[in-house]
Amino acid sequence: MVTFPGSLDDVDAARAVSKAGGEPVSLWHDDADIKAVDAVILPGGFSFGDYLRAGAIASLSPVVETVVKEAAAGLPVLGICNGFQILCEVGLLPGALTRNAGLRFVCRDQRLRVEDVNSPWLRNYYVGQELVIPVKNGEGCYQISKDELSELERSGMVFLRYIEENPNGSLADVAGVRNAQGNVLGLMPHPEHAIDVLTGPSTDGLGFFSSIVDSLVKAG
Amino acid sequence: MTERVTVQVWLKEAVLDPQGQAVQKALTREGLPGVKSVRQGKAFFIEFEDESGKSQEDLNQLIEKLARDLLSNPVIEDFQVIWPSEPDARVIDYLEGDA
Repeated sequence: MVTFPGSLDDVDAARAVSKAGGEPVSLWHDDADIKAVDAVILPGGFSFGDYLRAGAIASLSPVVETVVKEAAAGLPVLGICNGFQILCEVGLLPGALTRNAGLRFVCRDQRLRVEDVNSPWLRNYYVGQELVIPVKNGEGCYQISKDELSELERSGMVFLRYIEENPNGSLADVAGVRNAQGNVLGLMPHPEHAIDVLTGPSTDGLGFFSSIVDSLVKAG
Repeated sequence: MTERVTVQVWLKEAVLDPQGQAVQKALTREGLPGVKSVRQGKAFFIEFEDESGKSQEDLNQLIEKLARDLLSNPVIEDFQVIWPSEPDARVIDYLEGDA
């Protein structure tokens, strides 16, 4: 669990990891040492105030440099919201996120459909499963060239889509994408806010965290 | 000698620019006739004193790389480097007045 200046949801995401049976480890943006963790989560928030572009300055931090190297060797990485923006900025995931089409910060419970489960972060979901998970973002409009988008669609890399209503104007209702290998995943909705009915609209988000714990336990 | 570089960045033609659209509506509302399009971008006014002895060629390449990889995101944005750049007098007045 990486904390940047301006991260907001690192504590919630750490709580989600615990609830799923994992042990959260705090990592610091300015420290390249990722303490031999089995997986990395880049949480939501507004790292470095979203100055320049959302995620742009965080993508230059020492910890992200290590994460990029390890991701190439198969380290599972999950980017949530601002974390997704960082993964796109650093080139681990294709595309970019721009200002919402409606220009408003959107915060609501969002219906989603799982389109692909070829990832250690998704083993406890099934294709076609519908989820309700909160979205909250100002720059969540997914953008990519038409050719690249059709390539993503063909290879199943668009793993999560908004249904019923598109909150931010994302192309093809894209809510989340994975890399070709499946170890790197990014999404705008916040699964860590949907792990407990006391505080969230559902427990649909817990699957991301239980999936990675189960994947690692099975592998380890 | 102080070097001045201006880097302008704006969204590619194919990328939706909702801020530009909102400004377009406001310009029309304020009476500018026939506004066809507004694209909102940003500009970086950079000043540096080069004592590194880097060649002009190396500096050119470095600045272009920084404009492409840091100041803009090539997935969604285009950029233009203006160097040497003399900000116009009003810009200088504003910057000095601000300090």
